[in-house]
Amino acid sequence: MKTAFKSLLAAARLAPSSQIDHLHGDLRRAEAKVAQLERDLELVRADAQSWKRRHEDASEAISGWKQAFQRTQAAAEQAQAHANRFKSEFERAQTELEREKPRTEGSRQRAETLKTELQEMRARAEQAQRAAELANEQLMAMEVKLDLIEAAIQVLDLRTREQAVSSSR
Amino acid sequence: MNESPSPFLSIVVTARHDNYGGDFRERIAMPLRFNHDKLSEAGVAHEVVLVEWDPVEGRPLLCDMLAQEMPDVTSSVLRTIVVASQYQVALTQNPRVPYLEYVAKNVGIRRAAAPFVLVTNADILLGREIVEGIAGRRVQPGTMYRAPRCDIKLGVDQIGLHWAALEDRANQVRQPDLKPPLLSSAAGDFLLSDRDTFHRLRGFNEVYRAARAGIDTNFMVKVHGAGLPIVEIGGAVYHVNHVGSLRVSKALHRDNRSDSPWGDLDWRSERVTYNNPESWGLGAAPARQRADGVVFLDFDWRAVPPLVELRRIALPARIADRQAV
Repeated sequence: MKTAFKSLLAAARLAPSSQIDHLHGDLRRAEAKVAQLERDLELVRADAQSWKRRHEDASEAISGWKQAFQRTQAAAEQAQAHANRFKSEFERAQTELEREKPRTEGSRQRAETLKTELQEMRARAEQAQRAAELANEQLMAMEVKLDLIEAAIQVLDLRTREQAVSSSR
Repeated sequence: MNESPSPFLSIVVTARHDNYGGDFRERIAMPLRFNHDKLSEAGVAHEVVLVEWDPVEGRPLLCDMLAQEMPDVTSSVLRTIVVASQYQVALTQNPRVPYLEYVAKNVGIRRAAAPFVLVTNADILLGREIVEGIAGRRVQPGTMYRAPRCDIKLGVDQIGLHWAALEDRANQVRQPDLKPPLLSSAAGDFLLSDRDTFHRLRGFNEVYRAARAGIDTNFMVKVHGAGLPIVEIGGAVYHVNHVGSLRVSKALHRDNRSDSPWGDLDWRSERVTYNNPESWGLGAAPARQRADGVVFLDFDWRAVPPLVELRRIALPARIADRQAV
């Protein structure tokens, strides 16, 4: 009976209600899925935006690093150039030093000799100063002694005169 | 001299009664009394050895005049030694110097009895700190003590002169600083040491007698060369200025510095030293004592050192290699 009813409905191009209900259910699920997919799509879009930004940031950073690297490289090249120049100067100086070494040694020996001579001269000057001081001291003592001799002569002269005068009276 | 406890301090002063610097009796009496009073109050047993040099004929001895004037002082602390006039004549190397003051001082130093001897001048007043220092026995043997001399203005009233007046700068005309190492300014006014040290040094220079000025400085050269410490005792002594003192009269001899009554004012007193003979201080002079204790040194040529003894003039020891006496 049921089958006959269904055949009748099919002939009239109608579907039974259960089928319609079933289709309704499928439609709701499909709509829900679509909504879910739309949300997922939004999320994916946002995520893609985020990645895009990150990519852009990373690209910028890479570009900065690249520039920094280039600057550093330039500086390194400059430093290398300096180093090369210094090296060549050092080598030149070393060569010059090697060339000047004998002359320096001569100068050093002359300086040593001069130093020794200076020390000897200083010692001689100190000795001369001591001798001068000593001579000065002796001179002072001699002066005092001469004063004494002169004083004594004067006293003796006075006494002699007094005696001579008193004996002549 | 009546007997009191044995003295801790002998004060050696010299005098010649020729009224040098005015009435000498007056100038000597006041300080004698002043110093005696101050030392006695502080409990310092002392004697004053007065050497009367070359007494003037026809004039009474100063010691006799003082004995009349202040018998309490003279009988208790005064010991007088009168040196015969002939010694001045026999010893002189310069007739323009009428008073061989430092030989006279040596006479007193040699005969001082106390363990400590202060050589000063008869018109010097001891300051407060000095008396306190001596009373406190703050003096060590083997050290030469010095004190600066403050000159009190000429003509100040001396009656009742006391420490407060002496210490008042308004009354002073000179407050000297003693300059190391010799501290020699006016050394003849204050030299204090133990008796043994004076004896080891054999007193002031008796070899060079042609001057009186600078002999005290010359003594300090000897002290310094002998390696003895020269120390300020603390406090000052006071001297009442008088006409005729070296400091007051120096200007009179500005143009004639080699011919003053003090001898040559510029002789090399800081550059030489001396070695007195063993008989320094007229050690060989015959002595006799009067009944009242006054000692007379009679003249004897044997007590007179040679007129000239050049070998006794020496160079001062350098400080770096100075040796103790």
